[in-house]
Amino acid sequence: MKTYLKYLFIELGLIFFFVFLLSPLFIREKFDINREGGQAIFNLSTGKIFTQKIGEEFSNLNSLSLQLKNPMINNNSEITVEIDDLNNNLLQEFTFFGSNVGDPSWVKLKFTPLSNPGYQIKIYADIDPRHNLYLYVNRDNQMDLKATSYLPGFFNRFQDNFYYQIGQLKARSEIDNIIYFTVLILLNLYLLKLSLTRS
Amino acid sequence: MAKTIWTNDLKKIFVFAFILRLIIAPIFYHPDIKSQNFDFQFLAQRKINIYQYLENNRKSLPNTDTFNYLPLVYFSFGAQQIVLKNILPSNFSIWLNDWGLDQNNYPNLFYYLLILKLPYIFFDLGVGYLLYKIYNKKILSLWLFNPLSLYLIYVLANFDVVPVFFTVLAFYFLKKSPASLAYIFLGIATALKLYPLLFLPFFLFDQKTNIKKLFINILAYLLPLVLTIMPFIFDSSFIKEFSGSGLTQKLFESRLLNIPIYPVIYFIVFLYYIYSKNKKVETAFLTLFLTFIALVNFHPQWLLWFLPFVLYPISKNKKWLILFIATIALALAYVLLINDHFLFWGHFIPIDPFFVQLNPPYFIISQRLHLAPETIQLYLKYILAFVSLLFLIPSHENLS
Repeated sequence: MKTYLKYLFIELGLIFFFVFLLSPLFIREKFDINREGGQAIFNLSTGKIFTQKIGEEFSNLNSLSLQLKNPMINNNSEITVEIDDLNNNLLQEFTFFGSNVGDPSWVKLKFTPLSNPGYQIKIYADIDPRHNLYLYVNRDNQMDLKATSYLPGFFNRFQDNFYYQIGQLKARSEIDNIIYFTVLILLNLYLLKLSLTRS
Repeated sequence: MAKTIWTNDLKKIFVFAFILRLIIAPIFYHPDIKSQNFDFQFLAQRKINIYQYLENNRKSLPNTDTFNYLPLVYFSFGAQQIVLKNILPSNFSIWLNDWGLDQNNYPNLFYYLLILKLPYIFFDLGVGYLLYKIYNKKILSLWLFNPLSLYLIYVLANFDVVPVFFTVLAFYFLKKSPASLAYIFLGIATALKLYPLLFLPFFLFDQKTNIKKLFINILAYLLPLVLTIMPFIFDSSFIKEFSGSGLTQKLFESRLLNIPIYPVIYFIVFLYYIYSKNKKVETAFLTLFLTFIALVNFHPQWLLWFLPFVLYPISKNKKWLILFIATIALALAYVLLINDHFLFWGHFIPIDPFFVQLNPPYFIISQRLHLAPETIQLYLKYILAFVSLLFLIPSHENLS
């Protein structure tokens, strides 16, 4: 029996660590928006401002990622990203240079979590008629955007992950769930029997 | 050679090993298993020449990776997928062809991975059984419960465990008559991946031989390879796709005075082996393994090739065991510094797809610590070469 408990402890320990513990330990944010598939069509080097509203309510918005294209990394003008609230009050401002943008690349902007009913994101760059610099935008004028919100507190994350894993389990094929867990239980019963039998 | 008596202890080892694998297999992911199965699906569509099909249709396919494996891989794993499809959950084909933003958001990914890795479990346990037959229970446990082989087989999830099984089966028959079967199985392994060719000369000269025997053994070895390659050998698309696999180039990469070092060391080890009275294939393979890690820019899954053979010598010598663990730790540190999301956090996608968004060690070292991971990798190689040299220091413990 003692030997079997050792086996069971290892099995349950593995499941607990990988399925329930790893994610709340390391994942501290989740996607609110994860949108790509646009084209490099909005030319920022003309001095135009691209404005995007995020209508949904985010609690703890803590990062934005935009997809930009700096062909041959030629453009080194200053690029500004503003995050305003819906009344045009500036909440965050970021500036970086064209040399920080790939051909193409995602630019991630991290900030202390914001909790507002909505946001306006404004992106603009210095005018540079010699070299183009593009923002990825789709046909509906929505830019490629990844927005994440911060998940505070280990126990909250643990709880969220627990419910997420249960949800995933329920979403999986029912017949496969039944077979999988039956096989695991039967094998464990056999292992228990072997452990109780003297060799 | 141990006689199989299915004692309680032995049954417990296998049952527990099986349970562990059923737990581990579905929770780790690497895109190679998807990419390979993406290509294998075309056998069910009766595409016999996969190389030509991919070349002609690459632009219209959702995955544009090349298929740089041998024909037997395509036919055997394609057939396996046809069989497994009956037990794979719905949407498997949709997942296989989805390389977009939602490719990791399939709840059934857990079962796709488990079922696709089921054959690996059987080959892995098969290797364990053969090691038990060749050596003893200690080597069996070392194989089944060491984290390195679990990582290489179920986390990286390449099919290398299949040729590994056939090389160990060949070794089993080499130690047992009829030895010619050994060469057929080594040939099957080579028809799946070319690396067992490195083992062939050692197998050929393991026992006293003559020209006739040598000729028959080489013929037996070449048979599976020739039979499976023959229909494609003059096909330009096969040559083009297959030349993308980098083992041969990588073996010749490290040079001193423009002389490739690994082939020279290989040749020296082989000569030493031929002329030694007490031939020990395992010790020769351990030397080749260590120089391989130190001198070749290896893909992590390649470490599995030598593993079953080196377990015996390292289990017999405490100093070697410690050095071996150090070598493996350094080799894994080297792997973690490769610029690839899927060699670190990406493995945990089946648990939470967000893992792929986390920064891998490469990014943290280059962006936060402002160090060049490639330089660290180079230093790791130097340390690996040094640690490998330590194996040469004579030890009081003898191999029995």
